[in-house]
Amino acid sequence: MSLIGRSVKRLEDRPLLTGSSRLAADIAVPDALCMRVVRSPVAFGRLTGLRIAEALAHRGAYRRRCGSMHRGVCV
Amino acid sequence: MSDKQDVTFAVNGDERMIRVEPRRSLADALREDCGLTGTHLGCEHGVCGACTVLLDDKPVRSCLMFAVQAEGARVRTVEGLASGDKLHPLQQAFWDHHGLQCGFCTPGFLMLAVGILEHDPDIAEPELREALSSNLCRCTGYQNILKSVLAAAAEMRK
Repeated sequence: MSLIGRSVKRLEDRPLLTGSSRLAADIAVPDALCMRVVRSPVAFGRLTGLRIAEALAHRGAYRRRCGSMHRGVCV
Repeated sequence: MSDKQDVTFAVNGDERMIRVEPRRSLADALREDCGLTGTHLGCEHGVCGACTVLLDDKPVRSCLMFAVQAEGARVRTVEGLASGDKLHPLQQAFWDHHGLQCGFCTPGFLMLAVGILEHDPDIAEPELREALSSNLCRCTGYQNILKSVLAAAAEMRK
C-alpha cells in the first residue's frame, strides 16, 4: 500500500496538542538568575557608560560582566 | 520587589497553593511555580494569545494577569484537556484537520476555542472566525484552525 497521494497523520502532534512537548524555554534550572538583554534604540550609537546603580540597589540584583559588550544586571 | 504572597487556586481541578511575588504573572506562575509548561509565552504583552488559559471558564491572556488575581479561581490549561489517553474533541480535530504546524500557538488556540464553544456551542462561522482572530499563528495556519474548530463544534454537539 503506497503512501503517495494519501494524507499521513503527523507523529509529532500528540505532545504538541497536550502541552507535553518540551521547548528550550521549558528547561528549569534551580536557582537560575533571570536576564534580559536590553539593546539600544539608537542605530550606530556608541555606548560610553552604564548607569546601573539604581538597578543594583534592588534586592536580588546581581552584576555580571561577560566582556565589554555584555555588562549589566541580573535578578 | 515586594514580599511574597500566598495564592490558592484550582488548576485543572487540583487545589494549589503557591507563594509568589505580587508582580508574578499568572503565566509565569503556571509555568514556573506549577510546572505546567504547556502554556506558552509568545509576546508577553497580550497581542499573540499563545498564553490563553481559562479562568472560571473564560479565556484570558495569562501574561496580562497577575497570579494574585487568580486567588480562589478555577484555572484550566492545555494539560487538563485530555482525559487520560483520550484527546478532547478539539485536540482530536486539530490533529485530524492539520490545525497545527509548529504547535507553539496551539495550546492558546485550544483554550480559546474551548472557551468559545462552551459559551456558544452553535456559534456561526463568521462569529467564530472573528473570535479566533484574537490569537496569532505565525505559521499562518488560520484556515485549518477554523476548519478544526468547526469540526470539533459539530462533534461536541453530538
